Amino acid sequence: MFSRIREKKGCVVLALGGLALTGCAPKKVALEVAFPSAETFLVTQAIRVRVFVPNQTSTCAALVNDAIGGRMPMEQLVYDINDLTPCSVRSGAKIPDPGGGRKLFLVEGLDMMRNTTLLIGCSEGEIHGKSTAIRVRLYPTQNYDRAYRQNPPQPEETPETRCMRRGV
Amino acid sequence: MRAGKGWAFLMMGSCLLAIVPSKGNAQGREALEQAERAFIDVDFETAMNKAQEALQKGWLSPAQLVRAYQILGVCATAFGQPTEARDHFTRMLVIDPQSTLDDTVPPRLRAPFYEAKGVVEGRAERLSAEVGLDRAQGGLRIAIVDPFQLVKKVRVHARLEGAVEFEVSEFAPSPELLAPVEGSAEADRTEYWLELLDEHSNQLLVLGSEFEPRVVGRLPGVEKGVDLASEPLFWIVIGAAALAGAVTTAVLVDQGSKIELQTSAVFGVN
Repeated sequence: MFSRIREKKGCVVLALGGLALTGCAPKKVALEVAFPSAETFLVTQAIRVRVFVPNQTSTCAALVNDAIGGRMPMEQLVYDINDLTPCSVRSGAKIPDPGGGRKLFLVEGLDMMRNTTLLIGCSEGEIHGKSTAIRVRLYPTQNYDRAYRQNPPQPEETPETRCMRRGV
Repeated sequence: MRAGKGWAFLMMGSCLLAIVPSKGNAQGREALEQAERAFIDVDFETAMNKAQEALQKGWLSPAQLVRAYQILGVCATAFGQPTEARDHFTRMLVIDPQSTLDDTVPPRLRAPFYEAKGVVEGRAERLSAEVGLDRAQGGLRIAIVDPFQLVKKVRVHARLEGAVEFEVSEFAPSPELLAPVEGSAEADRTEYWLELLDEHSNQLLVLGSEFEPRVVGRLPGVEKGVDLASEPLFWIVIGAAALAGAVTTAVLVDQGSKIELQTSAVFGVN
């Protein structure tokens, strides 16, 4: 009889523990970076993610234009992450919670020197408890072709082999 | 006149504390000090002349400039020149919207100040400047808001982070202007400080300073930390702690504050 009570106690403890874990575990929301192709992934050397607070003038279209033109509304910036690579993005890098309210997620694919934008995309969304994913589709800029010619990917190379070789 | 001497003295006492020593021209500061002394002695004519002289010598800091316009405004009011007084107070409030008259200024001398306050507060825009890095053009892009057209010159001191000397350049005022900074297109960060000046090179607005410059450019990135959530030991520790106060904690914890973003890559834009 005592062993049965002990068994039940164990179940209750486990159930409570499970509940607690569910309550405390941080919710993860995916920031999906959609590359046009595997080739563009291989040509891109670095990824920059900037999050902005939208207003009447700061929209995704304006941000993309500003980013290509080298201007940025710094006062709207929530944060700027400039140390990512395509492989770290693929493997699931963690970036901070941008806080409540709608935000603009500007993602750029850069060259090795991190100063030429090869791919760019922006998406507006809000991160909250019920969010599932924010998807940012990247599109090639006018710089892409030149970067491709200067540094074409190796034949047979894939994102998997590239990232495995770099240990990411 | 004796009563006036009292309030003038009190007002000066409070305002002298606000005067910040600047690198400016000593002659301008000296003239302003003479204006202060005359103001204490309720010699409004000398105070007015010396404050005007201080303005024309130039190189006053914003705090000194506010004080000069305050003296000019009070003196002009005392001489029955309300239009001039309002103009001086308007300039004072444009430079520092929080500036005010001391409580000891008699009500009869306050009307032009309140009129000026209404004029300044009636405008939605405030004297201000915003600076951003324009990598494509290789310089600082400066946006200036000057609703009362007081700015006559913009002086920019800029250097690449780590450099010793600032490069100084001056521009005619414009709502938006570009100050080229050699090497800024490639550099991570550029340091600057900025002066908006009037026609006598008095400082209407200063952003940053030689010793505390402002910085534009790439913000430090966020390091990819260790993923604790994937460590079994982490969850064992959390589980043990949770058993002590699990249910209460689970109810009270705000789910919204525990969200994190995790990147992923997909291919093909569909």
